[in-house]
Amino acid sequence: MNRILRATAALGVGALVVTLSACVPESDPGTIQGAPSAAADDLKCGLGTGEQAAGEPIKVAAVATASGGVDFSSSPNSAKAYFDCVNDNGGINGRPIEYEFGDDALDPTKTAQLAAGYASDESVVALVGDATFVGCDVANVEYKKAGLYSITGVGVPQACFESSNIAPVNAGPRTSALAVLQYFERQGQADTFFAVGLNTRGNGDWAADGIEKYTAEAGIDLVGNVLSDPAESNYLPLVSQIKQAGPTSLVIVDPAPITASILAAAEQQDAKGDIQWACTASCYDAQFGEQIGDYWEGFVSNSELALVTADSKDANQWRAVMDEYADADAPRDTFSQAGFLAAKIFVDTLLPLDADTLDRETVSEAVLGVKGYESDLLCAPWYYGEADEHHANHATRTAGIEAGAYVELEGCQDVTDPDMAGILEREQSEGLLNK
Amino acid sequence: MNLLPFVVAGLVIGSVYALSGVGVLVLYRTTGVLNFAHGAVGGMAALLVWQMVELRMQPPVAIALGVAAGAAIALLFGLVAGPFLARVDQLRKAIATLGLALALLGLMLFVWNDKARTIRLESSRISFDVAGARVNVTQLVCLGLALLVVVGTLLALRYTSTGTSMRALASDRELAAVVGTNVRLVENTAWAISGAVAGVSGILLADQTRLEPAFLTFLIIPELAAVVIGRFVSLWLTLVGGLAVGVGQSLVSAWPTVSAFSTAVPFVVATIVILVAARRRVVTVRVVRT
Repeated sequence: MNRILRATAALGVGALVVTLSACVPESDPGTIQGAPSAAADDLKCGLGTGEQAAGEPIKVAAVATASGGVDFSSSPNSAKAYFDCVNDNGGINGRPIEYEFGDDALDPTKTAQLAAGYASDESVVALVGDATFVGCDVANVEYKKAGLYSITGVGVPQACFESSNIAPVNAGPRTSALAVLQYFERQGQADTFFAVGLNTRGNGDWAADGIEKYTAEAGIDLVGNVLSDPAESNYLPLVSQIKQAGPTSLVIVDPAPITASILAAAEQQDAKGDIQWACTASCYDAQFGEQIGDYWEGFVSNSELALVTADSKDANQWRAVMDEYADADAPRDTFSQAGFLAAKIFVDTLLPLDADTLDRETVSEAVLGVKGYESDLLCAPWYYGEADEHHANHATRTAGIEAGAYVELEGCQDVTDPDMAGILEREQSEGLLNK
Repeated sequence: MNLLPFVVAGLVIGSVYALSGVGVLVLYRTTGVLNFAHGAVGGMAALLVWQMVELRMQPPVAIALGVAAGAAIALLFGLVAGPFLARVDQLRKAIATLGLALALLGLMLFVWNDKARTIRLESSRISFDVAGARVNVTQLVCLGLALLVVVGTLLALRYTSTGTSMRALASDRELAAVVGTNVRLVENTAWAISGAVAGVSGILLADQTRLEPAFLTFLIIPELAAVVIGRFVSLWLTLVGGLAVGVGQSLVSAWPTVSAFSTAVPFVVATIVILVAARRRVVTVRVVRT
């Protein structure tokens, strides 16, 4: 045993010496490079009084997938950061917001339990900044019974956009994929198109269906619409399929780690060619450009909200609030913006109300009544409204990688989805875009 | 369709399965522990390498430390759990490592979020064409290393004193202890070697496939298939098994109609081998009877 201990100690000391001597100097860290620095006014959240709210707390909750392989906690975490900022600035007319979120660990049974728990707790007035990857359908059943409404930060599967009591702030994978396709169409780079996605029900197939319908309508030659297994280890077949089809442009509708692996396989085969490669907003993330390397200069991504480097009122406030109230290493991404925006919509909705009358019933009524909500993070006004589907965010921006970082290629553009006719019609007939 | 790129990719992944399988096999033969955490240890090593490179460490140093970390994790588990595991049956030993696998997986998911990560070995940047297939240096390293490790392990088992002790333990643990073999030392060596092998294969797999905790942890399945094909005894057959599983997976995925079943290839191959092996035993029994 002594020999082992001695060997381990020697190894440890050796490792330490090597570690200390092997580092190359680090470049300036900074949370988001290329973003304007914060101003003092950015931290005037809500009433902006600068005084701690001390009244009776208002209970708000969220359900998010934070573990189990997918981590969407950046949405509720930024919602919490904003609520903390509001509480430091007079709260909701003197009453602080007490916020908590439950992790469903990528298990729909757990989502249903959490949703039922919040639904039965009468003191929970609303759900804000949710981001569950699996359970919108089961959660909606509970919320509906209890008359509880969710201003969801991030919705991914179809069910999150087709629920009566859930309204996401983000645009979702289908809209994001169509946005990429229509960007290339406007650039004259969509003569032939190829789509890659994940074979997951109510998610990958939903996006693929949108691509198929739109290309058929617009007369674009869809040369490939491939859904791959989530456990796939070898992307060579996919890359050779792409190479053979030789499309003018292509979109990958996968989570960022899988997109990065597909790109790595394509780089190994030197398959970039003349194809315009792109992905949905899932890989719009400051780290991404650096991870995929120089080979992918010019790679295109959709962004469902303002770019993280944008210089505008709400975008600046989001960064300032994150720097002040969230962990330094909390992701600064679209999901974080979405959670922040959900929280801001909620606070702006409650502030005009009489703080003493706030309970589930009055809050639900106010949330349902949100319409024409404007923010520079969004492209078009956001609304709730009484309906069986909620998909207010259907206008997005496009970014491209330049020197390892995303820069804006095109500003706000409305996304056309053949299945959204009902939503667009209701926007007009119910006047949802105006305050 | 030109199938050569698929064969090349299959051989490369297969050789890393085989490399991993050799690590599993050496540990199993020496300690009787079938290590389900082999993939998780590799995943941990790969993520540590990524983290160290991200913290601006020189890649070669980071890789060396990653492999050392793999060895250290396995050795630590061997030191702590080894004495207890020695006294329980093989099924419980295997289940204990499943616990380690899940603990490591949980730790990895806790420490690293689900953002995109890639490990790019410098050797992957140098590539050349072989009859229409692109091959890079990392892929050659994978193939060469698998062969080298099989031959090296065979030689070490035969000609070194530790190797002799390992073989002694493999045939009879109690007897080996009685004749004066330092059982604990030999077992710990096996844990460390197996951990280092797991680290090397984890880093290579992360470069060749995906750098994701759950994905790398569950690559233990094709790796075990290779060991099953080697019938838990033969290093050469483990190498053949790994290559067969890798090439099989890659070829199946070449055709869109069957590509959805490529993840099932390890199970199918392992099942066939078990069935055939079982059948042959029945035949021998009959021969003995007549």
